[in-house]
Amino acid sequence: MALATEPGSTASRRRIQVEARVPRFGRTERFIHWWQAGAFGILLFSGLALWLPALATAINRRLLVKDIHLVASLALLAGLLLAVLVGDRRAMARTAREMDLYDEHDRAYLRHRKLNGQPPRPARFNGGQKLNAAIVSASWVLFGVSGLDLYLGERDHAFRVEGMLFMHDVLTLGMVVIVCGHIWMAALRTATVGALEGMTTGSVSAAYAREHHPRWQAEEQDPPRTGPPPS
Amino acid sequence: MAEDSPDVPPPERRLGRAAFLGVIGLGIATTAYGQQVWGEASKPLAAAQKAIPTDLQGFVPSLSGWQIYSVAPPMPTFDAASFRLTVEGAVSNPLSLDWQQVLSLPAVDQISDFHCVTGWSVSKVHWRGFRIQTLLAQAGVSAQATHLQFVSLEHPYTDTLTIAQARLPDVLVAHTMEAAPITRDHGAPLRVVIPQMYGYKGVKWLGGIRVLDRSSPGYWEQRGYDENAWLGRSNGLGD
Repeated sequence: MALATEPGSTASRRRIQVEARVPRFGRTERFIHWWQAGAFGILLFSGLALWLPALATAINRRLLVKDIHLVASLALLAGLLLAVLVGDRRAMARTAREMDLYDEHDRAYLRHRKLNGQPPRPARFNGGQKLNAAIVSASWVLFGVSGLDLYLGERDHAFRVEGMLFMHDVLTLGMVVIVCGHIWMAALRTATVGALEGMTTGSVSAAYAREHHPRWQAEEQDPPRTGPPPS
Repeated sequence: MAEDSPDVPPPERRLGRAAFLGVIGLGIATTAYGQQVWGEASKPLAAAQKAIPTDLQGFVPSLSGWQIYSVAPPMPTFDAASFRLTVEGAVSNPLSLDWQQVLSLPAVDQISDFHCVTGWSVSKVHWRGFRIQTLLAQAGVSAQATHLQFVSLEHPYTDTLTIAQARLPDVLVAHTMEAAPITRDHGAPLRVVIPQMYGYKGVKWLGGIRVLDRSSPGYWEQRGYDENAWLGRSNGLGD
C-alpha cells in the first residue's frame, strides 16, 4: 500500500523496508492454479447438478449439464498442456521436487509435534501444503480416468468398469472437503490469509514469509518505488 | 535467515510421490471393493437420511441408490382432476381414461430391480400398477399393429416397445412405488416399468400410448442408444 510520506525521508525508507515483498509464485504457477480452480468450480457445480436430486430436478437439462461437465474437463486438460508446453518448466519442476521431498520439519508439521523442543520451521512449503498437492494431483488423475470411463461406458458398455461411478462419487466428496479447507485457510483464516496474495499477485509480504516459511531461502525484494530512491 | 545445523542436512524422504501413489492405490481399491463396503455401511445411513427434513433431502446424494434424470423443463406436475391417459393409433376403440379409471384397472404388485444404462442400479423396487395388456384389450389393437409408443408429459421424451416386449410378464405401468404414489421426480403419476431393459425405456410422466405399425426411435435412441435395450446384451455388449 502506498504511504503518504515524502519519498526519500527516513520514515519512508523504514516503511519500505518493512513492506518488502518476497516473490512466491510465478506466472506459470499462478495460471495453473487458477485454471484448475476455475475448472474445478465448473466441474463441481455441473457434477452436483447431475448428482443431487434437488438440483437435477430444478435444472432439468441433463444433456446440457453433461456437455458443460465434459467441456470443462477438456478445457482443464488443454490448460495444463498449454502450461507444460509454453510455461516455465524449470519453475514447475522445482516446485514438483519441493513437493516431493519431506524433511523432518515437514514430518513434524504433519504430526503436529515439536522438533527438538521448537515448532517445526517450514521451507517454501510446509508439510500440509505438500500433502495437499500430492492428494489433489492424484485426485485429478483418478477423476480423469473414471470420468473418461463413465463417458465411454455410457454409450458402449464394453468399456464399463464396475465401481468407477462409485469412486467418482467418493472423490467428489473428498475433494469438496479438501477444497473447503483450502479456501478457508487461504481466504478466511486470519493466520493464513497472507498466503492468498502469493497466488494472486505472485508475492507475499516478507513478514509473512518469515513467520510461516522461515527456512525458505527466497530473496526479499523492495516494492516498486513511486518516487526517487532514498539518497 | 537463520539456518539449521550447518553440519548435517536434515534427512529428506520422497513422501510426496508416496502420498500420490497412495491416493491412486486408494482409488483402485475403492473401485474394486468400495461398493461392497458401502452396501453394508449405507444401511444405517439411509435410515439417518430419512431424518433429514423432506425439503432438504434432495440436497444430499441419494442413499437409496436412485438418481433423478430428466431432459427438458418443466418437470410435469400431476393434477388428478385434469389428468387423462390416452390410448390411440391403430386401435378400434381409442381410450381417454381419467385418474379414477386408471386406478380402477386391475392392479398387480411386483418387486424387481432397476438398472440405468449409465451404470447405477436399485434392487428390489416395490411397484404396483397395471399390465399393459389390460389397456390393449380395452382399446382393441389392430392386426397391423407392431409397436407401442409411450409418450411422456415431459416433452419431447418418448420411447417404444414392441407389443411382444410390452406383454412380458414383468412389464407394467406403475402408479405406486414403495407403497406410496409415485412422486413427481420419479415420474408421477405413471411410469412404465420394464426390468429386463435399461431404465430409459421406462417412460416417466406417462401421458399417452400410441399404437403403431412400425417402430419410432425414442428420445435416447435418437442420441445413439439401442432400441432393444436388454440388460447386458445391448449398448455395446452381446449381440
